[in-house]
Amino acid sequence: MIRKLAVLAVLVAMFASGFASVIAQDEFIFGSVLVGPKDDRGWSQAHYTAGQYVEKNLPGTKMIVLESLNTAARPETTLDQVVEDMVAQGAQLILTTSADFEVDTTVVAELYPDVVFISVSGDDALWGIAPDNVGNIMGEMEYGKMIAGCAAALKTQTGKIGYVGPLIDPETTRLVNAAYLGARHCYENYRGMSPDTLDFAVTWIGFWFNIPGFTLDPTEVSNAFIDNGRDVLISGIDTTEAIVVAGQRAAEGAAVWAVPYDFEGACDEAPSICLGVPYFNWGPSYLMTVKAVQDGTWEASWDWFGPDWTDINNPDTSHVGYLYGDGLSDEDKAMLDEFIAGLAAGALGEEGGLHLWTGPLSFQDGSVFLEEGEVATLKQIWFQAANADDAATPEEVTPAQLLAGVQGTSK
Amino acid sequence: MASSTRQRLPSGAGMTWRYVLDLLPAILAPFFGIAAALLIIVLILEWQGADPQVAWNYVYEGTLESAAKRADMVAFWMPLAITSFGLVLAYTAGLWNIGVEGQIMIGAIGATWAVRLFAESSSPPLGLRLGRDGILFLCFVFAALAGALWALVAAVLKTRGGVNEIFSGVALNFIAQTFNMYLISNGGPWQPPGSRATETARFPENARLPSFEEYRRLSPTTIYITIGAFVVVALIMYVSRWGLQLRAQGKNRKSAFLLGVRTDRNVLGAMALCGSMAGLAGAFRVLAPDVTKLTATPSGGIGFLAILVVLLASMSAILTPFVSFVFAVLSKGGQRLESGFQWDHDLLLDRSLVRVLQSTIVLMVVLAFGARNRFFPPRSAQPAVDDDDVDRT
Repeated sequence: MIRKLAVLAVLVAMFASGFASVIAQDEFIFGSVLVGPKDDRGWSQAHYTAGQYVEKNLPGTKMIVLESLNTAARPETTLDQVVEDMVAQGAQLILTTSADFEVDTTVVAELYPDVVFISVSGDDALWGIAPDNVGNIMGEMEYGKMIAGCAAALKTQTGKIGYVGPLIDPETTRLVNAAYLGARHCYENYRGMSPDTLDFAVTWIGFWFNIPGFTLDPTEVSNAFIDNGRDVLISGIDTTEAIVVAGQRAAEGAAVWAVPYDFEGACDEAPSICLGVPYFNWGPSYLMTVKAVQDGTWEASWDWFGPDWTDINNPDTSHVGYLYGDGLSDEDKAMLDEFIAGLAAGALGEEGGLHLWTGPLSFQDGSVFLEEGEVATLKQIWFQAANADDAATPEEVTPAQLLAGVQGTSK
Repeated sequence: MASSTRQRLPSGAGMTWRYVLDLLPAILAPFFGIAAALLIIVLILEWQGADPQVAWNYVYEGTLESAAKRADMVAFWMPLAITSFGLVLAYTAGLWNIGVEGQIMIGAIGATWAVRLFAESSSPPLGLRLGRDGILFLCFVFAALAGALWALVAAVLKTRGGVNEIFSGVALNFIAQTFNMYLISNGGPWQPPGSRATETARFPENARLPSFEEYRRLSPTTIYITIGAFVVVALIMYVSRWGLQLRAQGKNRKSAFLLGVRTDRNVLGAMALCGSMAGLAGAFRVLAPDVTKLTATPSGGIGFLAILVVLLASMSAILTPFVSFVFAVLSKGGQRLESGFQWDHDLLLDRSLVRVLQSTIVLMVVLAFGARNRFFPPRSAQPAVDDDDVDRT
């Protein structure tokens, strides 16, 4: 009897220890490399909270983060070293969340073929020039920016809108153009004004966020916009300077508003003058990726995820959203609701839906983007180039340009 | 002056004793400074909820424990050290070369230009088709020349225009940064078409530094060049007459000039040498095996860090390698400290903590030196107490 009990005890012990080790091995570690601070109330924080979303919704997962990886903040560290540390820590998936990591990600990924890399906002997987373990994820933010442009056009008293842009590339150009199309549409259809009288200008600061002495100071850019009579600022940078400045100027008595960017909570900087925020909700796409890597079903792909049109602010299904701010009146909100419903109908292919990427549209240099009645393809929207579908390599795509009518430089 | 004071001292054991007494504050000052800094650091860590012992383990693990980490640390140390060596010359000559940051950047641009001309171009200048060694040699030559020329702008502004090198340095840093941005951002001439990153393309294979087999991110070439630069600076400072002249004009430029030192020529020489070493540091940064491209901020503040190094080392060429080593350990270790606490303990230390720790050490050591000079003035400095020009930190 005692012997049986002993055997049983040993078996139980073996089973328990084996089970425990299985649990320990089951902890899934994923790394997230941020270009800015994890609390920037913008781009990087949106990625950070998405990692927390995965940890919460998928027990047994753990995020390890390195924030502010840029040579100005961390001259002693390269992506190569960070990835090595993360892999040593057990990371099986690494999210590199900036366009600035795109090239380095493809180089480093070859050294770790068993680790999955997601180069956020990139398009290497689209061209098939990246290693098999590199995928791309991006949100269809152009819809959020159209709504932002519409809100700005509903509000502006001077008819002048200022867009604080980061650096110039196909993505940022696409987003400025989207905001411009949204603004034009609403200025004409809800305000009853001629869209050609709308004054829409962009100033590029030179990088994703302010680096003193290296970029233009977004605070100064925002103040200069307001000094020039631009009463609505739209932010396209990773951080919150535009809404902070607008809040300060409004507190001094100016009638100005702002639309921040990237992060759900960005309106908190100055709620009363916030016209809402177009934001990324990376959580669901990260969750899908982590599950696929865990199952072993992950395959490299280029994914561009859109809003859930039944509820663009659903935290579990919508990849981009737009949260209204207190600066909007109920009347404004009703018009925006209608505009969003129009975009939804267009995206879902319903009758009478809005397709703002419809010709005739031309670029600043006069070249034609879309002919009369032509609707842009996915690639044409992504690259903001007429020949995007015909190009075999990234080099063949015509460089993106701002649309004719937008003030500011395209290169 | 000091020797004449000592000649009046009693000889034998008494004199030795007095000499030790004299030296004591000089040794104790930095010791107290570092001790005070460590105490403050421990308090800050405790307040943040981080165990200082664990913190030290992370710093050690991230820099010195394994050969791989030591290699990464050395890779960061080399550009910092060589920049510091150059600054020893400039600061000894009384030249506050704030522009060193820009000189690193222009050096990085110079090296990249050489890569573009001789490694990437299908028709290199003069039909020079070089192998890897030749290309890399030219990269370093270009970087050193570019850095020297950039430093000479500030030097000529000083000698010909009477512009203080601090002001011209700040302006030249800004211009260097803007020029760099023009080259590689917003479709600039050196940004590859279709690229979204603010950088050039990766350099081709024949423009890559050789690296250690086991430590792919560390190149022996940078170590050799840095040692060479150290030898040059040490010879100048401790052997040559020119070093003596630099010291003299650093103490008092006008007196040195009246005593026959060609001060203007020496300003140009010291700045050019300093700039060339900063330029080489820029080349190290862009040619580093895990970089091999010109980035948005190739220096990233290494020049400013080197200024702190040289001030802490009291412009001593012998001390500079050690102080720069400490700073390299603090920088690399600080990053590991931050990620270690976050990854293993879910403890989010503020990312500026590392900079706070570094600055605390500098501040405390400088304070200690100040206190020493205030309460235990070195004998040689005593006669100069009324001279406002003497900087005793």
